[in-house]
Amino acid sequence: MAFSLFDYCGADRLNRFKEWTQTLQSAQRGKLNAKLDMLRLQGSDLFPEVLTGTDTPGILKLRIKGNVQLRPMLCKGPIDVAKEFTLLLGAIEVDGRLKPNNADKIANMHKSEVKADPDHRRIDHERVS
Amino acid sequence: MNELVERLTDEFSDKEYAHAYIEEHGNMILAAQLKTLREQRGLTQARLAELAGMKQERISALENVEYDAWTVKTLRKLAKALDTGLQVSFVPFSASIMSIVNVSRTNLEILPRTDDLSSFRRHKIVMSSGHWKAIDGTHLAPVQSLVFHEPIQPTPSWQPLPNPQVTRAVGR
Repeated sequence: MAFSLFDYCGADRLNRFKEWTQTLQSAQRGKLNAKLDMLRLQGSDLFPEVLTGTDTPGILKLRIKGNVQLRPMLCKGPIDVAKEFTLLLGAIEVDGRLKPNNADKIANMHKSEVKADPDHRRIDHERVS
Repeated sequence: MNELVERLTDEFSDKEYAHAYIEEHGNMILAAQLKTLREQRGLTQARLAELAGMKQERISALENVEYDAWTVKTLRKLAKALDTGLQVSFVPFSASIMSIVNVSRTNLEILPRTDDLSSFRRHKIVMSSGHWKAIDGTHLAPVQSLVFHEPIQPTPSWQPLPNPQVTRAVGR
């Protein structure tokens, strides 16, 4: 079963997740896309702990190791939780702390915005390679 | 061509990107296959750990897609505990791309050794294009001749064949 991936858009309709991905180095984008491809093809069930929870219920993070620890925030759905994932915020982890601070809470705000207006506040995932 | 195959073929022209992608994917697949095989055999993490001479906590760590310190020695222990073969080899990136797009739980599962060998005995081993191939006889299907109830008339959208010879059936 294939899953749909979406990116969060700001009120100006710009793809915020894509903007963050464009700041990453080539190897980081490779690792990120490896995880996102499997998420799209197989969801999270086949891959143990590919998505881990945060302090905010319903907000998950992908963990990508490297010189910089990438922690993009995402959620299932939020429109169809069985078939979709929405990438809500680009984040990193430094010394066990998320950057930006309260990344999970910001991601939760983004999730609410997407839920309220999915046609305008999210877009099909735009891959950056 | 499958869209992802095409995309990865383009993306892998960047060496840094390609190696990072394959490393991450490999870690995910090893963790996923370890868990899939353990569950397929009805083993708990504790029982697999016992069979492999490890601690349960170690199996738990290995089944996490974040684990990235695999050694051939560890893989050999797990292969013996799970009673599977182990193949560690260098492969072309094209082969990696094809395995990426074909990932599924079914493809990660492996029959236990005795079941696998029993099934393998039913295969026919044939030489084809310079390679030995095992053909599963159960995949043979009866062939029925086509019977048209009425002549098929070409429509304007049909493309003429460049070589009409290929339409002839080849007798064997």
